[in-house]
Amino acid sequence: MKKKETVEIQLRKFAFDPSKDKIVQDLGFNKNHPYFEKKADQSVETLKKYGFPHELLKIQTIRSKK
Amino acid sequence: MDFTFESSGPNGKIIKAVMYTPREIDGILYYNLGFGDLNPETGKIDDLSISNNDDRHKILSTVAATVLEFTTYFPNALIYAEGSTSSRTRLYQMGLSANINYIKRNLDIYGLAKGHWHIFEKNVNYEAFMALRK
Repeated sequence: MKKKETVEIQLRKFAFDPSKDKIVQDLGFNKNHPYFEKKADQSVETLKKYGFPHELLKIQTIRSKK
Repeated sequence: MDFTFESSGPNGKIIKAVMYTPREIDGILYYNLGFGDLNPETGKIDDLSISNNDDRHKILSTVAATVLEFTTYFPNALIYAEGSTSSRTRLYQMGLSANINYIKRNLDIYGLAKGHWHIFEKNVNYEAFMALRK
């Protein structure tokens, strides 16, 4: 009989300062984790090359003005 | 912001980590979605591992759930995702396609193909994805 599988999501602690509208650096084990930093840097290279979807930027701009 | 969840299956328990890392290009802020297996002893992330825990669909659905959770806090955040390999990117694509109706009700999502962004559609191979909460 196949073993029953479960996936449980557990939200790890995070810190969010709504007054500053940004993430506070209090992310526990993977604060500034080199792997995620490297991946984020790679995404910068890709987006510098290809840009952002214009439609998404339009939506984002309209919302931010409201 | 980071999330972890546990994959339980025939190969035991594997901790999965999802991280949203902010970056800015020419004044445009976005968050890179990073995902991989967390080694709790070393703290290292393995994004090339194939855990074969027979729960791929659940894992991809859970990663998608973190996008919705994240954008609850950051409703105007652009989310960028790209697999560590082309096969991993296709895996993301399969996960998106399997949940496309639910995802499109909540997110505007685009795929990067041949150097251009397109509205995400099933059965198209993309190199990367970008999403914004509706």
